[in-house]
Amino acid sequence: MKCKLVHRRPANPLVRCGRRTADGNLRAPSALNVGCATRRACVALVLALGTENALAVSADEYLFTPTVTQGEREIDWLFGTGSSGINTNAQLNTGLGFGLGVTQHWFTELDIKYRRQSPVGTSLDAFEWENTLQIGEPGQWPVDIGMVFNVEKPYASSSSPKTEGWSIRFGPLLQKDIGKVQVNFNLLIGRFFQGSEFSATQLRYQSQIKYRYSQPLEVGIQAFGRLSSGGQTWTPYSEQVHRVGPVVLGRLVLPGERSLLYNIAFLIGTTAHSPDRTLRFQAEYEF
Amino acid sequence: MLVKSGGMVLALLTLTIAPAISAEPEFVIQIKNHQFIPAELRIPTGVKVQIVLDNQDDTPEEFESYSLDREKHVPPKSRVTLFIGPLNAGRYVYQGEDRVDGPAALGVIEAR
Repeated sequence: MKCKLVHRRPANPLVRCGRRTADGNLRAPSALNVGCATRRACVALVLALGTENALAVSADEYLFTPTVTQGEREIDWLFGTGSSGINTNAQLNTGLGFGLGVTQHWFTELDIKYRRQSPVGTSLDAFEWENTLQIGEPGQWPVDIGMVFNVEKPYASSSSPKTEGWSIRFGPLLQKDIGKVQVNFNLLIGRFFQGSEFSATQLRYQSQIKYRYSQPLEVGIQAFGRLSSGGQTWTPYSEQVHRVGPVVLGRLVLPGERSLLYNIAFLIGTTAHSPDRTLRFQAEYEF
Repeated sequence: MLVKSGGMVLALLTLTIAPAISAEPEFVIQIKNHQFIPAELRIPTGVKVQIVLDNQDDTPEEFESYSLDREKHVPPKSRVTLFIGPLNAGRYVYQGEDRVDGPAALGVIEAR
């Protein structure tokens, strides 16, 4: 799942108030400075936790589409950074996947995902098995319909402990063509297992409206949201995550039945729990 | 909750699909010796149509068109169905699979 929740340990705020000795070791604040240190620690903690919430969504989430092409093989590379306030590029998500159109109606992909989150550093994040089922044929019904079914296993180690457990995510993928305009809306239902952090069913959405100007250049607007928190399926709006912004995408046709697809999106967070800015890049090599 | 959500999704899909089942005018395009026959097909404007791709070759073929927003793999010796339209008047080009021993097959659907 590209819209995975992540968790990281907050930085120790007291470190920010300490003083380093000449040899670089941290020295505890003196008794006279404890009041100041406590206030600064509280401010730092609030800032750290605020950033924590705002960055608690994957920066490389991308839109699922309901159509499948049999025999299509692809190598998929994703890259996204999330920033909040002055905390630029505080979170980076990247992933590499290999996908195959097995039948006229089933596409499957295996992904390996990495995450870099300061000050923790870069680590292997998760393995994912992603499946798209195309229901019917494009154009057969007023709305094109597909289903997505993903399974994700987080990678935990001593340096990168995980609390969310493995998870499944599924939901309908809807697409409608109106002339050269294409509209997508996906509702994703998620459930975590063997974890302590997310006890409630998780709801997310993805949407896009794009203008199909030409094959190598299309423009549109995307929106991604998370309506749930760890223990609540439907949280108050202020605690939800909503991101919206422009996207540029296209397909470059290469000789020999190959092509390179790209999309670049810049998303703005609209709630306090959303990253202020998300920059995402996706490239797919089809062959 | 999970079962309930799944049930709601299925109900939504059923409601969306049920009223939409109807018969559209059907046209057949044969694929023979890596060529689309007929290479130019006329269909009415403003109407959704079914196009049956009948691949009589021993090799797979493809129907790909950006203007029609369709990409379909056609296995050897098999038939697949596409739904296109309603289209405005105009010519919509499509092509087959790239080949090493010659150019890809080309075809046109003309809506008029």
